Amino acid sequence: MKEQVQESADSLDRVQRWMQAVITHPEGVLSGADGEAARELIDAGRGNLESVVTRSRSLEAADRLAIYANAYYARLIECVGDVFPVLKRVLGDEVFDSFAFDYLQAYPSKRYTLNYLGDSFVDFLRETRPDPEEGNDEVDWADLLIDLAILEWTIYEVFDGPGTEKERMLETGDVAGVDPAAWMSIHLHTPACLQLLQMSYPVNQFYTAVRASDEELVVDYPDAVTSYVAISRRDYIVRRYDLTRPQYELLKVLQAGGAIGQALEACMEVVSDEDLDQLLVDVQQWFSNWTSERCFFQATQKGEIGMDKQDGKDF
Amino acid sequence: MNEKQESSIHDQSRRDFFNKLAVAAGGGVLLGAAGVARAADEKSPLLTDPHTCKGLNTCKGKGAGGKNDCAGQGACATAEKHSCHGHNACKGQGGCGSSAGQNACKGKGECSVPLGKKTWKSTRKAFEAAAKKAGIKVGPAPK
Repeated sequence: MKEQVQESADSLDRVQRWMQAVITHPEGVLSGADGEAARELIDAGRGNLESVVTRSRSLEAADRLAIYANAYYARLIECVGDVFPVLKRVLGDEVFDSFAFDYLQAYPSKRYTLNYLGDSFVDFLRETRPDPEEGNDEVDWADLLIDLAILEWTIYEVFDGPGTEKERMLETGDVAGVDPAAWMSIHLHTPACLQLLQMSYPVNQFYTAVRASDEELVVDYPDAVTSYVAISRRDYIVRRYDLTRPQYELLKVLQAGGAIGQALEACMEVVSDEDLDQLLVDVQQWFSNWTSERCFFQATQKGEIGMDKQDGKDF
Repeated sequence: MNEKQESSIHDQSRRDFFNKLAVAAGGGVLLGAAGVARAADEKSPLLTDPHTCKGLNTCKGKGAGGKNDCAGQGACATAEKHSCHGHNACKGQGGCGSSAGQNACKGKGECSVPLGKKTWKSTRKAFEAAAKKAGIKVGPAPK
């Protein structure tokens, strides 16, 4: 009896894996049944499908399996589209679905959750993009689409990842006692949900314009201009902020664990001499905005001015 | 004044400027932190509920055409993915028996598309068409 149960379980497992191989084959059920993966499990082939799956009154075995095969891809393509809604709108449903289908061949779904289904889509676009024209190293239209995919995937990750909602963020009491001379060596710690992007196009503005526009309206494609974007999450809402280059350089250093002094140094490198006075005004406003937007959750001080604590010190 | 002295003055003014910048940054942090404290005092109880929007999923499938309070703010469109996550076990299977034809038809549409670089070619066409409609000139396509 025990052996019979085991045999049945083995058999069920084999049929399930066979069915998976058949219905996920990119060229359809018949090719799937003929494929090596399926034949290794059950050597039926397209001519013998009904030895595994019976026909119904109205459908043959191949048609019945095709329902699952088609639904499998239709579902996954829909899921990829849900992650990249603006890219899908820009490309149009048909073209986007083509990309999504190709992508699923290159990067088949292998996780138990669909959360990660789109995690290699940007890589896929980069790998398959047309080669730039010979002698032309400028960015082109394909970069705009890739930028858009990067932005949408980042929004998706920030939405789903850890946010600041349950974190105790930086408060007045944490920094009220800081000696003015000490700010240079203060480290402001950024939350994991803060993402900084450098793009070839002003893609954040393009994204907003497409989302805000009527479905039927064609939004002008932007000219290629390097742009900087910060993405974060507060109160469970993903926030997007356009950054200037100096802001981006500043935040990048802070995010990497650098002290305010180091961040300011990086920032100054991209500011012209005539703008330095203005920088003095701007920097205060920037830090004020970022703090109130919950970009920092902790301030610590290390070594530089005699508070040599290996793990940093909370104020 | 020799070169060394000039360099020393330059270093000094640079250090001074840096110090001013750092103090300005610190002042900004203090201002921002005070703003956070004020905002916390004024915060609606709804916003302090950890289930707002994301947890409760009120912004996912609800609201006409998915356009609700959150949709314009960038977060909730991405939330639509959860309609797949939550229902993925039954989504493709429900209705297959009674509407098998439709389902098969839809799937075949997806599967007949060209692969690889051909997709980029059709993308380029779509891109050119959209650019033309918008009155934008685009350069020649890469080979």
